[in-house]
Amino acid sequence: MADDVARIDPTPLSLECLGLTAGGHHVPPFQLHTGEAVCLHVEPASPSWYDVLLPLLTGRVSHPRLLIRGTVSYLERPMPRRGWFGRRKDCTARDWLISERGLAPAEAVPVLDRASVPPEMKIGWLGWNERTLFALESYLVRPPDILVFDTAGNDPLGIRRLFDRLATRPRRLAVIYLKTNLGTASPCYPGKGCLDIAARPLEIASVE
Amino acid sequence: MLGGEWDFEGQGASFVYWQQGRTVWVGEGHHRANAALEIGQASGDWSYLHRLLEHGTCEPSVPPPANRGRFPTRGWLSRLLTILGW
Repeated sequence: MADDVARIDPTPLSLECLGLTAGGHHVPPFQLHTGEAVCLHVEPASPSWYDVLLPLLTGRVSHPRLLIRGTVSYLERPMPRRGWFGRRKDCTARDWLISERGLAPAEAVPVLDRASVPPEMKIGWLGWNERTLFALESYLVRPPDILVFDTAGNDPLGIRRLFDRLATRPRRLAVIYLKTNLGTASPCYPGKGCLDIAARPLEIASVE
Repeated sequence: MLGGEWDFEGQGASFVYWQQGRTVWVGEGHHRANAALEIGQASGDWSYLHRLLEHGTCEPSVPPPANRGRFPTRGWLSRLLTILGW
């Protein structure tokens, strides 16, 4: 019995990358367990990371050297959609939560409160930091197993607020931070047990 | 900004943008970008805009296509286009 208990992995594997190359991006081998965080330093390459890495990491494109167990979501910020003749459909924050994120009206209220976004605010008028935090709150209502996110376009305050909020995320939620700005002023995702991989800077951290 | 009170260096990092050639996409700092644009258009002095870009945070590459859009200004044409949905 004791052996059976010992064999149970307390933190199941959510994602395993055996090392791969895609579109000029070399992703080193790494594992991501439940609740862990990984900080992937994305160097500028052509085609861009959102065309190559995102489809891979979110499972939209399968790769034999990338094994994903569970659900993955990319932290997609609310953006006005283009409709006929390029016209923008700029819905309200409340409508975006319901129509795009699939939340029930009752679930939308606390999200709007936590993000301090007025329900009738048009999403096109939200600042980038505000928009990112608003999106994050919406994803935390029914969190996936893995959340992929970036901070491109966010200022240092916005990045800090995002990290602070993610520090209190559900314990089972694993996160992948695509760090696209490798400047020294831009922080890595904080955590314990950072690990650098030589080929490409990579840091792995676990949530306490 | 015109009064010389804007701290371009101190507030610089919080101005976040992408740039490709002469096209700039602003992530954070729309208000100050608008102020610098209006000064430039009114006086021909584009140094305010250049200082914003110089001290701001330039993101590598370009933003995802779905995240790009027209920069909203306070001009009548921009307002009209916003009302019309463009």
